[in-house]
Amino acid sequence: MRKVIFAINTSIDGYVHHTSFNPDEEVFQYFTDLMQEVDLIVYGRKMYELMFPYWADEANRETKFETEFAQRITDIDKIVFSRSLDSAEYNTRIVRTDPAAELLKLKQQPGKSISLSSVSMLPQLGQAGVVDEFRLVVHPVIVGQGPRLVESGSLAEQLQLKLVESKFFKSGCVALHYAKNS
Amino acid sequence: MRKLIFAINLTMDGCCDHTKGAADEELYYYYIALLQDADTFLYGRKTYQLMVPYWPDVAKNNSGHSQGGNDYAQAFEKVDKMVVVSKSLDKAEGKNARIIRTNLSDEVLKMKQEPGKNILTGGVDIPSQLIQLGLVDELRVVIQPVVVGEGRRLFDGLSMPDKLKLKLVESKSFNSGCVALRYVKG
Repeated sequence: MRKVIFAINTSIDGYVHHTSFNPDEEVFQYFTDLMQEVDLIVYGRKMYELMFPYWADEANRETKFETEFAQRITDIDKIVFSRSLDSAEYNTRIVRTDPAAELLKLKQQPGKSISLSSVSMLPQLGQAGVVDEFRLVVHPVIVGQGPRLVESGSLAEQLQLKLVESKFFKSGCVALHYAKNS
Repeated sequence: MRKLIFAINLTMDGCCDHTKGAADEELYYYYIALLQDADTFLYGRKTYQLMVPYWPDVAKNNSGHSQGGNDYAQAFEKVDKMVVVSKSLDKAEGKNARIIRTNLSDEVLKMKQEPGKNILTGGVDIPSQLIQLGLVDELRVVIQPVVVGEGRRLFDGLSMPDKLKLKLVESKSFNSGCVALRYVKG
C-alpha cells in the first residue's frame, strides 16, 4: 500500500506560517528529494493557492535549488480538496468528496508515496490513521504567534509516533522523520 | 558572565504541558547533566510549586519511580540556590531560597554577573518574559515523538518585534524517539 507523507516547515515552538522561514539550499534539496519519492501531492485549498501559481511561474525561481523544487512540484500530479475552487491548472484535479475516504482509496492504488501538504486537514487525516509518515523541518526560530501545526482542540486523541531518522543542516534546521506507531 | 539556560520538554506541535510526556531514564540523565552544570534555579511560582517539595521529597525518601528519578532528585538538591519570581508567594523553602517580586530584568542581570555556574529556568511564563527581555543565552528543547493538539503552548502570543533567530549547536536523539536540541542566541 502507498504511504502518505506529511511534510512541513515548522518553528521550534510549533508555528507553521511560511513567512517565518527562509529555507536555504539544503532545505529545498530535502523537499525536492522527498518529492522524488512521491508521484502525487494532496493539497487543501489554502496550501494549494500558496504554492500555485507561485511556483509555476519561472520568475519566482531564484536559485537552482528553488528551480528544481518548483519544477518537480509543478510537473507532478496533484489533488486539491476544495468545495469552492472552480478550476485548477498544473496537473491538478479538484476533489470535493471526503478527504479521508479519498486518500484511503488512493493508497490502495499502485504508485509511489503520496505527499500530504495541508495543515487544516492534518488533524482529521492523522486521526483517521491515513498519515504514515511525518517529516518536520524544524527551523531555528521562535515565532510565538500565527497558525500552528495543530490547533488546540482539533485532535480527539494524541498521535503517538516513532522517530525514524533525524538530519541536521548547516543552517541549524533539523529534519525529523517520524512514522506512525503501528 | 554566566549563562541563563531555559530547558523544556515539547511535543512535535509545540505543547509543553508536563503531563503530556513521561521522562525515561535517558532523559533523566540528560537533565541531570544540565543540573550538574548549574548552581541556581530561576522559576516562576507555578514551576517552583511543581518542583518543590516534590523533588526534595523524592531525594529525601528515595521515592522516585526509577533510578533516574532518584538520581535526578539528588542532582536537583545539589543545585544550591532557588530564586522564585512571584508577587503572591509568602516564602520559598530551602536554605538558599529567595523571592524576586519586581524588576525581573535588573535582578536577573545582576545574577548573571555574579560568579558561579549556570542559571537554569523552566516553566512557561517566566521563561517567556526572560526571552522577550533577551536574557536567555541557551535554549534546550527535548521534542517528544507525539502530536497532542492541546495544552499549554511554549510561547503563546509572545510579543516580540520579530521572530527570534537562534543557532543550533548540538543535537542528540534518544531511544525513546525524543530529540534534544540545544540552541544559543543567534
